[in-house]
Amino acid sequence: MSNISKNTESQYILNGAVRNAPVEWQDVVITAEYDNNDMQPKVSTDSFVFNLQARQDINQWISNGLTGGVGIFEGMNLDLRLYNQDNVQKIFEALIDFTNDYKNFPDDGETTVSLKDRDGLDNFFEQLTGTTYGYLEEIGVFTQNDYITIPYVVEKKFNLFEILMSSIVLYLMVKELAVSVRNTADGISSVVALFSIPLGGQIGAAIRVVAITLINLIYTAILLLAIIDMSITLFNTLIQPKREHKGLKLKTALEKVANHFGYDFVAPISEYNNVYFLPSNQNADEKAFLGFISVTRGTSTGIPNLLDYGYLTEDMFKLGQDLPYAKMGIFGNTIHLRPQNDPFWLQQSQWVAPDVLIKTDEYNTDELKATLLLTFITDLNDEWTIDDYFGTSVEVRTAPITVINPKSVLIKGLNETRFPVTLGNRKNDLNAIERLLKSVGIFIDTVTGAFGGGSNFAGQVESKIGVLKVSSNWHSIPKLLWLNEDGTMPTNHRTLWNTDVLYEKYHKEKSFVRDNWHGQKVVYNDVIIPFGLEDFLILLSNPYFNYKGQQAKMKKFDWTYGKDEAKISFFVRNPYTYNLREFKIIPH
Amino acid sequence: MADKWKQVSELLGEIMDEQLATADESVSEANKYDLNQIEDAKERENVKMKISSMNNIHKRVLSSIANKDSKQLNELLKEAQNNLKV
Repeated sequence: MSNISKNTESQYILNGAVRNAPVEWQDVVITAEYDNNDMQPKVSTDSFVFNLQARQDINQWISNGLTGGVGIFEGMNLDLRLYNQDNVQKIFEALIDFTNDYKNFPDDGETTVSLKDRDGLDNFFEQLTGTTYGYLEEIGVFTQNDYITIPYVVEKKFNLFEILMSSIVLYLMVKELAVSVRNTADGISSVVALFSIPLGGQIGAAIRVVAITLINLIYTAILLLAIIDMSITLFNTLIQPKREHKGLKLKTALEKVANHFGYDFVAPISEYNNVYFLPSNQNADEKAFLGFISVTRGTSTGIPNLLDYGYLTEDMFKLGQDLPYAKMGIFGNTIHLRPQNDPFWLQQSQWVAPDVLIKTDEYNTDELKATLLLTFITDLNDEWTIDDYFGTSVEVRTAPITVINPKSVLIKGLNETRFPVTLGNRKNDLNAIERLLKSVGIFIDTVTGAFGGGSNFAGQVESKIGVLKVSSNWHSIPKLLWLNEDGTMPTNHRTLWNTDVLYEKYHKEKSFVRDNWHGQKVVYNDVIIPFGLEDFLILLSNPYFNYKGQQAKMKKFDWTYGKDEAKISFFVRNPYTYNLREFKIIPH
Repeated sequence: MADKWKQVSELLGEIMDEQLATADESVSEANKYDLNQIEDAKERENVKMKISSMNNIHKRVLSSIANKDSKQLNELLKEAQNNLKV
């Protein structure tokens, strides 16, 4: 609390010009609510009623929309400057929101308006609402340079038909080879017969030998080339090609949006350096004669598809916060997206609550649910998301250690955080067909070697190891993938990126048991305290403060600035029961 | 299965290498022959023509193999059958 909270004088500055105060300004209440543990509040005010010059300026701003001005759809700056006898002053930079509760009363000579924080998080999220990644790509905010190439393969979970087909084709090939060898032998015999008429002398014999060897060589070459062609056809028909998607680093997806709206962006979440967003794929392969794939079609862009969760930038920011149980705050011109357990939030804490009489203690028992569930979803178009389920969800059950009457246990309910994207699966080894066809690949490479080499069909099979694996080319749910810089997946991608990691690193913050009963809070509601502009400005940036030597966090306050007082609600972390334990279930 | 494919491919590779070496050797041997030993001028001219044709075909066969050109090899086969008859 500082001197500025006392004997405060105020000035109202409309678009840079000092104007008269609103009518009955002493009774106006500014409310700040930290919903869902937010780090910066949603600020709302009672309506301000302006008359005289201030009213004229406001209505002129709107009228200017007809004569070349920005008009009603751009907020008008309203700075609330407060100062005291010590010449300490603070300015609350607000914006008149004409789209919310604007009313003009010509007969009374009054106009009512509502305000919002000019640089508040609320304002940022309102800008995000309705802004899509499609639009941002269209205007060049996202370009191909932002996307990473993600190699992938389509591999059905069950491919018995392909195995059967490849076995039949291989049989036919070997049979054809045998026939060709026999035909070659016949051909050579016929040619040799042509040279059976003796030519006199040594030279005649030499030329005959040359002719036979040349024809032998030509026959062999033709035969081998035919075998190579046939093998390549077999290979290309039965072996799925390695394909390519475009993806976008999750951090880039957030950062470029923030930059677009004029903010710098900080998100020190280690996972976000490796996690990439892969949109769903709606592109069909191009097929050639007989239905063979001629051109593969992966995603052509890394931004979400129109139907994907995340296409709206607001959703992507929600996902970006939900994954690491993070909150956002705006400091200066920088948006910080940090986990709730990031010490950054506490380091910023500056405010000290006054020691006043508190009449009631409450406990946050409503925040404990019997089951906490973190889960990615699965994709019916990609069976591997179901087959390899490890880490897709984690369930944490909280229950009392000692129970007298099971019917009387009060812990119930579900706290579910659902991430509407899927995890990826890595191709770790060759399947039965690939093992079979790798032999064909080695065959082709070896035989081609007789013609000077150049092919690496065996390598093509091996190169598929380590890339993303999907069961069909049309995965319908976007994925969040842990990738190396070259777009491949590390062998331990699933241990680096899964719900249990997210729980242990971030969501454990909610636990009523772990970390010294961290989730248990004593709550104080509707405490009346003296409160001034500086208090308001500090708490706008950070809800943490010091209360009687303990760390506390603001939940809500209503500030009547004309009276220099506020009604605050806050909590202090203090355990109130040790009769709890946690069980963790990680389905496979 | 992999072993069988490997054996076949190695065998075919060996056959091809052997054929190439044999052709090289036989062409080389034929080129060393002293045509003056043929007394009959008409026969000498005939043999000279055959050797020239043989060298030409050999060169083109090697080129076609390097280019993996099956069509050209088929044409060379016919040409060899027609031109190298003695």
